[in-house]
Formats: sequence, structure tokens, C-alpha cells
Amino acid sequence: MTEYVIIGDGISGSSAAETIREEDPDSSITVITDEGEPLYNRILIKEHAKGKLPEAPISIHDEEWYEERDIELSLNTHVVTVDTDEHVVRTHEKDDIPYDKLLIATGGTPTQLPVENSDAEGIHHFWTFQDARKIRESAEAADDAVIVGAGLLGIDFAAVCGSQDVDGKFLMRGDRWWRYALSADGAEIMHEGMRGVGVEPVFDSGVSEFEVDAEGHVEAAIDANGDRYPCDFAGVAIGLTFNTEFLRDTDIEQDNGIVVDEFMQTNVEDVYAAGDLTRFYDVLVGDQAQNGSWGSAKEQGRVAGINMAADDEAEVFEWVSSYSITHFDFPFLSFGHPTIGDDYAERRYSDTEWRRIAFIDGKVVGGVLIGDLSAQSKLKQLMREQRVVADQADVLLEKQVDLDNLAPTQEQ
Amino acid sequence: MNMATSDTNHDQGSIRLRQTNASTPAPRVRHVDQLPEETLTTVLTLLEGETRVASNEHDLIEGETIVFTDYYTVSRS
Ligand SMILES: Cc1cc2nc3c(=O)[nH]c(=O)nc-3n(C[C@H](O)[C@H](O)[C@H](O)COP(=O)(O)OP(=O)(O)OC[C@H]3O[C@@H](n4cnc5c(N)ncnc54)[C@H](O)[C@@H]3O)c2cc1C
Repeated sequence: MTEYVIIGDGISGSSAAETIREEDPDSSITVITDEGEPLYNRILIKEHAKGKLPEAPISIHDEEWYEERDIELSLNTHVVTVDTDEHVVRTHEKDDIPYDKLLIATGGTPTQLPVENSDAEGIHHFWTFQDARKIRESAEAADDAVIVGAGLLGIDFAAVCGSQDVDGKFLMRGDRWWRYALSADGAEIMHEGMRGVGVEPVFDSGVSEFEVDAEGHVEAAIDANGDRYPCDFAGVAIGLTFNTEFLRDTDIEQDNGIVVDEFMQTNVEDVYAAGDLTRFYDVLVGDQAQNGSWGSAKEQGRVAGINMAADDEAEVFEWVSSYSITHFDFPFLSFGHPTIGDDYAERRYSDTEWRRIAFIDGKVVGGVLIGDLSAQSKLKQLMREQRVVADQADVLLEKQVDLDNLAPTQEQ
Repeated sequence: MNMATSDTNHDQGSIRLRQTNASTPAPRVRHVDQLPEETLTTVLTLLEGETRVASNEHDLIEGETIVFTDYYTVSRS
């Protein structure tokens, strides 16, 4: 009987456990998580923090789900080391759990700002359900907020402020939000969205220090220009540090993430990785790539599970990811790898509609759509087909994309 | 995107997406990023005002809530 151990009960770990149980019904499966609750809907915790969604619908699995599938679930259990020679995982309680096949699905932890008082009361990071509960409580009592981190998670803090009637200042290092994926035109639509919910973007800024009151509660942020922004709530979303500390004694290859091939295998035998923390081989771009999104993590977990159970390279991970922002009255969707292109094409259609497509070697590798998402499935299809189309970008920038207007594919 | 409701013909009956609020009890709540590709396309097509959707490939269930720029409840009629 094969013994499978999965570290992490996020969507990638949980999806692997479910897949392995289906593929290998007689095996032993252990899922270890240092959180105190089984899999929940990490995407929707922001709706809870906004005060819109109660707790109950955010839970995905209860403990019975694991019992019914004969999956051993260890809650509140932190893995401290892995010995890949002995095939053993050690927990903080010094329990040694042997494995035949191991999946590392431990995701990341939000990075703290390396500035004074960055751990003060009232300064929040956003990753777990517990974080969301605290953010909700803190935002309900707050009047003024400062948000740091001009990326996809920073905007969730802006939305929390909007819903909880907190005036916000969104301090950004450059001249726009998500400058790696958006031009000034696209970003301006997002800035208007922020202003619409009461959050003012502040450019060429960034926090150099937090000030605290006598009780150690945040009371202001000082930015790089010396400007002072009073606040009783702060949200920091400057990036993730991957949870790989416990692998320090192993030879598992890491390169800002765990390096895996298209089968989710690491360089060490019987060790696989899935989810946010992988630097995976993306067959669609022909290179190592990274992705932090729910759908991608779920699919990586499933593919890892298939290959672990098959003890073979049975299925390739091939996926076009999506990440949406749904906080404003216009939608936003990014897909694939919108920041890694060697060429881009973009168009603005109205005050709330914009599209940008990223290409490498003429092939679509990602993009961003704001306001009108109607082209998303066609652009994703082109990415899957790896068709050379950059020379016909005009067709892809038509408001209504008709792929029949593309010239037939030439033999490469 | 401002359509509050929309319909589609479907082999198991037509589907409506109705704006709702989060406190409505639902058998399942999903964010759009959790929808399989065909379901996402179906949902977007419905919200863009289409009343007929060619594909019947989706996994929407009666009463579930979809979180998009608003909360929407799925109903079959
Ligand atoms: C606020 C927020 C909003 C988001 N919004 C979206 C969105 O709109 N769309 C989208 O697609 N994605 C969104 N995401 C991202 C998405 O949720 C993640 O990409 C996905 O959940 C990653 O899953 P994972 O399984 O790789 O990692 P995780 O969900 O991070 O799971 C890893 C688990 O491993 C545990 N762990 C870590 N180290 C150890 C250890 N040593 N021992 C034991 N357990 C350990 C962690 O506690 C955690 O439970 C959002 C994320 C957040 C936080």
C-alpha cells in the first residue's frame, strides 16, 4: 500500500488528495496543515473581510469530508523538516511521518514591510481566514486607512476600505497600479475604480516608516517623500514569501519557488510540488513560469495527484490561468502571463473598457481585459493553440473578436 | 454588464442569473475565478445580455451564488 503525504490543505493539496483517493483507492493518504481549519475558499475571504459574506459559505470541506474518503487530516500541525533520503516528514511535535510519495503544497506567507513598526497593531496582511476575520473587525472600527502594495492583493484591501466606509490612501511606488501589466490608460480605469470606493491612489510614494501610539497601535504612515498619512488601519500586500523553510536540509531545487517539470515533479525522487509556490515548466510558453491563482493551484494539485498515483509521467500540466477583480462596477480579468511578453498590443475602448495582449515570439502568452471581458475565451484559446498572431493584433483588438478574421495558420 | 437578469435556453430548461445579496442562503458560493472555463464563458455571456447561449456546458446548480461585480443567484425555470 502506497503512503502519500501532502503538506498543505489549500486548494492544491486538497485537490491532490481527492485525486489520489480516486486513482489509488487502497492507499494511505495524510494531509498536514498548520491552519486550524480544513480547506476553505481563500478567494472569498475578501468578501468576508468586506462585511458582505458570512463565514459558513466560505468553508469548502468539513472534517467529515476527509473521514469519508479515509484521508488522515492533521490540523494545527506544522512541518519542520523533511528527510528525502529516509522518506520522512517531521512535525513540530516531533512526530515522524513516513512517505512513499510526498507533495509540497504549502503556498506562501505575505511578506512584511522591512520598515519600522511594520508589525504594529492595526497593520494587516491578508492570506488566511483568521486574517480576514481580524481585518473585518479592524476595518469596521477604522476611519482612515493606508494601503501598500500596488498589485492584485493590494486592491482587495482597497475594496475592504470601500465596503467598510474607511477613507483610504493607496501608496504606490511607481506612477500606477500594477505597472508591470498595465499601461497608463488601463491603470487609470483602475484608479477611477479605487476613487469610486473612497480610496485615493498616491503615486511615487511607498511607506518608509509607521508611527504608533502609546498602546502600540498604528497611527500614521510616513512615505518615502516624508509625507505623513494618518491611519488607524493599514493593509500591506507587497508579495509572498514561499513556505519552504522546512526544506532547507534537502536538495530540492528552488529558484524563488520550487522548481518542477510539467508533471509537477521536483528534481528529487518521489517529491512533487503544486500550487502557488511552484516554478513550473509551462508547456504553453516553453519555459519555467509562475502563477498565483486558484484555478492554476487546483489543476496543479490534480495533475500532481494523477502522476503520483500513476508513479509515472501520466499527465502534463497545461493551463491558461485567470484572475479577476470584481470589486468595482466594471470587471477586470487577467489571464496567462500578462507581464512577461516581448511584445504587447493594447486599445482603449471607453472610459471603462481597455484590453492588452502580451506576446512572446508572436504567440499570445497572456493579457488583461477591463470592462468588456467578451474576448477572454478566444484569447485564451489562441494561447492554448500557440498560434503566431502578433502580426494580426488588430483583429484581436477589435471590440468583438472574430477568430475567423485571422489569416489561416501557416506551416511553421 | 448592467443586466440584472438574463435567460438562456438550455437542454434542462432555461437558466437565469439574478442579482442578489450575499445573505441569501445558497447551496454553494463561487467566485468567477473558480468556475470551469465553459461555465465562466456561459456566465459572462449571460451577463453581457445574451438570452441564448449556444453551449450547454456548464456546472451551475440551482440556487448557487456566483460572485462577480455583483452577487448573482442561478435559477432554472
Ligand atoms: C485575499 C486573497 C484573495 C485572492 N483572490 C484571488 C482571486 O480573486 N482569484 C484567484 O484566482 N486567486 C485569488 N487568490 C489566490 C489564491 O487563493 C491562491 O492562488 C490559492 O489559494 C493558492 O493555493 P495553494 O494550495 O497553492 O496555497 P495555500 O492556499 O496558501 O495553501 C497552503 C497551505 O499550506 C499551509 N502550510 C504552509 N507551510 C506549512 C508547514 N510548514 N506545515 C504545514 N502546513 C503548512 C498553509 O498554512 C496553507 O494552509 C487570493 C488569495 C488571497 C489571500
